[in-house]
Amino acid sequence: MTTDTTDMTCGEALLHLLKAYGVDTAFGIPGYHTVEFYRNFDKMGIRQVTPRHEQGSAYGAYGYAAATGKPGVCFLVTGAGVTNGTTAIGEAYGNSVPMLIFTTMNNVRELGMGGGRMHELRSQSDIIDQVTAFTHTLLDPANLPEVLARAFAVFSGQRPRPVCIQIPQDVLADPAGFAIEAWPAAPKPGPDPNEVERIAGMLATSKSNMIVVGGGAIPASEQVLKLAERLDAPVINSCAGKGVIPEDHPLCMGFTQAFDPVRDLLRDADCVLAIGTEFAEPDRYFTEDYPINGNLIRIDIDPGQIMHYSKPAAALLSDSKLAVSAILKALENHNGPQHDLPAADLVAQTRAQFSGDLCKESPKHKKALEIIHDVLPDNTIISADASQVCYTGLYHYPMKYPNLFHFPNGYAAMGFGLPVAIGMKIGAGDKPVACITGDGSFQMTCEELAAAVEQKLSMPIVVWSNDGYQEIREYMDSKGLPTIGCTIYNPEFKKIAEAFGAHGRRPQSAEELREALEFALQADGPTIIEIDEKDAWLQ
Amino acid sequence: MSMTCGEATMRLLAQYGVTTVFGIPGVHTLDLCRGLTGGGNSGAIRHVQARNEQGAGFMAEGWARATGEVGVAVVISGPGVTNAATALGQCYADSLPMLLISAEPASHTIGKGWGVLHEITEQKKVTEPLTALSATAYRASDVPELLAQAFSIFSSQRPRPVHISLPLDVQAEIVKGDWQPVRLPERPEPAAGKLPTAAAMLKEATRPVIMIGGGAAEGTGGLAKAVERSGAVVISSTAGKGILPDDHPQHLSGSTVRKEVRDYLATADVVLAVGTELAETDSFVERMDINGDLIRLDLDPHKINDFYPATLGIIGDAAPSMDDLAAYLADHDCRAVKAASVAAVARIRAEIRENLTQSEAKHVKFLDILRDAAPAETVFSGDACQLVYTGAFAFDLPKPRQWFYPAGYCALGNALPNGIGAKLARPKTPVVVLAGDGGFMFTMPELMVAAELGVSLPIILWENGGLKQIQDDMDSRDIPRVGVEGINPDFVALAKACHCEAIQPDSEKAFRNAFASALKAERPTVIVIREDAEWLG
Repeated sequence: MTTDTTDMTCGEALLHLLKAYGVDTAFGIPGYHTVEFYRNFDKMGIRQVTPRHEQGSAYGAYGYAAATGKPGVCFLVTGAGVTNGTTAIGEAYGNSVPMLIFTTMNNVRELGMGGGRMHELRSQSDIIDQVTAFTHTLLDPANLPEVLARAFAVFSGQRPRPVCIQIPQDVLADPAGFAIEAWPAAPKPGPDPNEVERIAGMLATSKSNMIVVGGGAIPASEQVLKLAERLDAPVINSCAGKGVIPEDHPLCMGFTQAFDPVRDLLRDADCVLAIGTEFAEPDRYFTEDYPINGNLIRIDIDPGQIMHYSKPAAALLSDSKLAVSAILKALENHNGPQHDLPAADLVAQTRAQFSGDLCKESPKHKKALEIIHDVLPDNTIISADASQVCYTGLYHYPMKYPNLFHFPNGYAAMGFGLPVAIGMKIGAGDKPVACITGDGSFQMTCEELAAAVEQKLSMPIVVWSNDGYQEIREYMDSKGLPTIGCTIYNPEFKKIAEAFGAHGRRPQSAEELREALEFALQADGPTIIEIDEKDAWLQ
Repeated sequence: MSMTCGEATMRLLAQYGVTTVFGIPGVHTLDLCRGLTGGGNSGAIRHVQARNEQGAGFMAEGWARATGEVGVAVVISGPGVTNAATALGQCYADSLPMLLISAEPASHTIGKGWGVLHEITEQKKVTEPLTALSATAYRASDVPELLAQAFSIFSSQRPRPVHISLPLDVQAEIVKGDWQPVRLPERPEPAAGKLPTAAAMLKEATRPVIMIGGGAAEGTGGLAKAVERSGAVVISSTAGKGILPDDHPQHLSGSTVRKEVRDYLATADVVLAVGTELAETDSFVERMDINGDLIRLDLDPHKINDFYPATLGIIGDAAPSMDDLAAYLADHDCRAVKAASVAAVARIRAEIRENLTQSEAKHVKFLDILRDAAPAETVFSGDACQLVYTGAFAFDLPKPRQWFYPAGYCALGNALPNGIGAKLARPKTPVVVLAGDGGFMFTMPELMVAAELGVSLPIILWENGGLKQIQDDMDSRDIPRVGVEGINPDFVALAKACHCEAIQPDSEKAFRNAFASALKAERPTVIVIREDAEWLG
């Protein structure tokens, strides 16, 4: 590619470079400090999405990444834009989502001088460092191609996490002077062949194997199913691992590390094979750690994770697809394992021992979730907020395919639902997207409805209303505390929708909910569907 | 009496005089909540429920802006802290005392990367650049000491936010609960001999100027005398508005952004800068032209020799210093100087009014009506929007702490939650929110908090179709407009859906009526002013 950058500013050339890496969309609220990012933006064919708060910009990039697998790109102004975006970036860090954040800084000569410049911060890097794989401050435009290549190496070759590139205002307006060329993608790490043999041996001779999959197993989805069938082993998924094998598959146990019968199996299994999962606290739904007495085998792309939770008997530092493929191949030389009870029977027997309900109101949630699940096509991408209705969905909303159910499991920030759904729909195009949120979560970021209307995104936004923070109310009750600040005054959600120019529905029966969802999937913009926990049809 | 550390923390805060905290309870703050309601502490502290922790932080900021006293927010770890971070940045830049109390994951998990709920690499590091002090209490006994440090900062240093993190296990530790506040230090006073020298320099001056910033807010009486006795022209920053009444004949209030005023400043032979950082955000020029001798009086030693090095630097508190300075000026005959100052101020004010751009003229037309309609004691909580930029130099306030503007960090969206915080701090004082449509959207959900509290709060929403300032910035740099012309909701319908009153007045009379009703209403009123409305000319 021979784009002439002689007369370009660093900001302009950056857009060309991003295009070379396949970036087609950017989220951001232009500000005084970022206008140089937008020079000739209109000629670049990059879609600009303007949220109403920088938290929405970063969540938009998150949603885009979740829907496309490509890094989500956002532009933030220095200072307030960065601190506004930090929560969403923290969520991407917690959930291993690739995101590329560009932010400005004050002019180089002003940095750290404490002169009271606009948006001034003592050290922006310190803040953003806490939620990124790395943060780079660009002091010379000539370094940009290398820095960007390094960012894309994180996205393709290691545990995906956000990367932030900070460009001082004067550097952004400097002449570019670099070639527009994408560097080759970093290769994914593959498994150590000797360790693969050893693991295959362990699995083949084990009397009981259990497989635990997380978000890191998504690229290996096909291979994991083959492995589960080959080993005849049950598969337990984390939240991020929903759909790695279809949750209605006879070998799939689902999101169940919170339930004793499953924890007992994991405790007593000869071998537990964990693929791309942290054994994170939220995946046990805040129950205590369970011991793993057998051999723990870990496959992870992050060396830190391999040595966390429990001592591994064997481990592969590898991309999950390469690792599981290699194990499958190595198992061709083995006959075992042998066990008496077919895994499908074990799964069925175990699942019969618990309800899978995580909250008091789960039966009501289930009534609605069943309809939502039935109406939405199987390929619908779900943005599920940190709300009780979605906790229930962790077990009761089975996914057929991986990477479609997105929930703020790690950082667990409320207000994720709507702005992430916006980014998803922008990335997904014609594929359906739906948001499921609670009244408390919705009110954290509901201003973004304006962006959804502006972008004409047809998607259902289900708002589950229980007058506030029901989960916290229940915790307070259980700890003998008077419930404080959990019951909140709600707006009229349908009227909010209408004021924004969106559609609003307030179904009063299963049939009306079904109809509202069908309408929302086809509508010429977003549709708020309010379900009140007190509604008669749910009782 | 034994109790959890969380409860004891809240009781100690009450003893430091905290009456209200803003926040959103979470699984991680339950033991702190215990201290808000339980047992003997019951009712000592009011908990105000925000819709996003950013709102809670901004409400605490509004409390501090209105009172000068510490505003407190209590939030969960991780997202609670990062959501509140922008408010910390704002309080840091604008020198406001704010205390953020947050949870943190259990101390044995910190830094391990286990993926525990709300985990962040290191929470403390996120807030370090935004605070005077960010500390984690690793055991309960750390808490009283850290709070002592926090309140000592508020009482004696340049006010800035403090963040204290309480890990879950620390919150739940059982303590005796006999924690007592410490005796707080006072702000330093200038070293002997400094103020007489300053007074002597002012006496010698033929064109003295006194520049005042937010740091002088407590010094109203002494400042007024020093102004009378020096005959100086006073130029205040936006944070300094009203410390000397804005309509004082020697005062060019909030106006370094005007070239007419900076030109005058360049001719001054002595400039006394009190509690101001002479920040770019008040002038929007790289460096103001200050040719005279510069005296800087500041609580913050870093401010004496920064971008504008002082001829005479004085470290000390503005309030007693102004009293002393006034005393040293008592025998000074400044009649000639004062007459020249009064004439210059009158001339410059007239020039400013003549030189307004079309859009500023529209702002001024509206602001004049608003000034006339609002009681003198009204507090105006402004966002970073063009109407408020113009108001900085074109809107008179009689007292300090009546004009909020996020001068330093300049985040959008502070006006509404700041206004809520101010209203709760000063319930009998009229509080008016001034926001642009773009800024209002940033924290629009907090409207529900105002509705829930049932406060009378006129919210003036200046609608000009999105991010007008950035449209102008793009236009001026020949950058085609991208992403700055957003679709707005129907603000009247939106406000009504949030249980507020709402109106879009179509005449001056309609506005005046709406505003008068809004001041009396028992809930907030959104008053939408379209910049292109016919009645604004």
